[in-house]
Amino acid sequence: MNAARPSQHLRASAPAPAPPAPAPFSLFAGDWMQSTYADLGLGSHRRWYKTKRCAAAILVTYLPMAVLAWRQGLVEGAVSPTNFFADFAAYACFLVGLPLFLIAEIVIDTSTREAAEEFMSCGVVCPEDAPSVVRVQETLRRWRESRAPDAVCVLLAYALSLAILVPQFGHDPLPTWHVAGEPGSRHLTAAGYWAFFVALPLLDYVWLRLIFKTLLWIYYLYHVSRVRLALLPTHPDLTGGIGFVSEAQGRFAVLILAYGISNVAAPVGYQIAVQDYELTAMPVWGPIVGFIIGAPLLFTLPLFMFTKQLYRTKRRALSAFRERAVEHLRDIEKRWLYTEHRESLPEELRMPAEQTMLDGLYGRIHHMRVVPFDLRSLGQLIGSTLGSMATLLPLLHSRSEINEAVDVLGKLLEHLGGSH
Amino acid sequence: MAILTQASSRAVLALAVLFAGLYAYAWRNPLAADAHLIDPERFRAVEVERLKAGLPDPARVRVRDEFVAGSKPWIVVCGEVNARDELGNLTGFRRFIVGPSFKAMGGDVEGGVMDALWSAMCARKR
Repeated sequence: MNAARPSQHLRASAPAPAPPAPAPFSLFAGDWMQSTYADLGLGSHRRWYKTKRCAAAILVTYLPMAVLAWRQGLVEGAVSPTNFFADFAAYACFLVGLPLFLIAEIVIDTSTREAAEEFMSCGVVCPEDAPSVVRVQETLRRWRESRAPDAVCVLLAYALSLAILVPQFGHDPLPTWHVAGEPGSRHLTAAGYWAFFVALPLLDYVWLRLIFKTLLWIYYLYHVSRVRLALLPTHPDLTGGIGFVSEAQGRFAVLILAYGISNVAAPVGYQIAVQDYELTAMPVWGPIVGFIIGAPLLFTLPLFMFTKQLYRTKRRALSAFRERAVEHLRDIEKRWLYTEHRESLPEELRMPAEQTMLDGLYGRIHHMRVVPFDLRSLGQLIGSTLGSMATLLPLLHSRSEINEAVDVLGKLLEHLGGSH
Repeated sequence: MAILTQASSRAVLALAVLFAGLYAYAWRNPLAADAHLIDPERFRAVEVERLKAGLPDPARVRVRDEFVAGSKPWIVVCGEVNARDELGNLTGFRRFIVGPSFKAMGGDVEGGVMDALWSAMCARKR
């Protein structure tokens, strides 16, 4: 016991250990895909590497299908389902959507990493709560480096691919470049084999993986929103100093754009142009409406997790401000309204200046938002949602259905205008 | 290629082998001009069902004298259809031409245009 005492004393007198350095935040670093990129010499985020990644993706998906379709004679001069080169859904998915997903990964990785760093470096997360955030980052590291989520994404990707493939062998399918032959003896074309066993699963894996990363980011935001945040109600960003989260959410617009083009506009366009569906058919307008409403919401709603703390901060600040302002105004009125005029002391001359400053502070507190989201970021999300759907406009125009859509929209607006 | 690890090499090699195999398959099994199209009878049934599905009250739509006509890529089904309009009244039999990416019905397009389409697309029965 006696031997232990001096060491305890020494330990008590030694300087307190420095708080643990936060593990570097990333949604992507070291995961399976990044390791594969590194193996293939595509691991950097520099511009040339982005181009190489996109080129490699097209080389593995669209190009082999095009060569196989050409070799097997699935090439014609007319727009028909059996003409591979007339399938603009394939163009949209593999030449536009897939590269955009790859670029989205880089954009999202950078923006979320910066936002996570700012939570710590700006002191928004209180030092005593930093270890719990570090633990969350450690959990995220384990999940992103685990192979299980990737395996699940691969399985889901093949399931989605089969979900498209199986109906092609069902009752009365339309002839397409994927599947040929008579009823009862239908078989995949060479391009169809590549599409359903390589290209589509790869495309689906890429976006499913990004959805998984988005869920990880939401998980991180949830845990950060649960710790005590040192919010500044008078911060010029009008969101207590966490306006950078809004910027990070706005960057997810690239993901929305890519998903909208490849998974909504492309299939809907195929239904309209090739399967001759009307715009008013549920399988056509349903996904469009669902996507337009759901996509911006998916990236806006998680920010409401910060609302409780922002609201409390704002309420506390307003309460403190009122108390201080009343006290200050009482002094001013006492000095400038109810006392006889005399020479002002220098500290008394500061009073009006302080009052002006208090007015400015009040403005900021009053306009502080309780959701850390600004119009610019919301505009990015909505813009990319509508932008991806805008790729359908030429198609609708060529079928004159755009007039129908505009008529419906006009009547709706007229009705809304008339009801006021 | 020296920078590739063993796993990546195997994946690239597997894709290359798969592509080579499919290329050979495509080369040995070219699809003749109309080989990947379904037979006329089945094509007729599919297109008539699709025509009915696009009209009000599909169960009561009547189709007669329908036949498959045209040549690739404009293979269509021509015939006459009697359907209900939006008010629920029968329109009487009128000509129709329908294909995977095309649809025209007498009454919806002008008579002269319909005549021209009919003679261009339905003249060659299959």
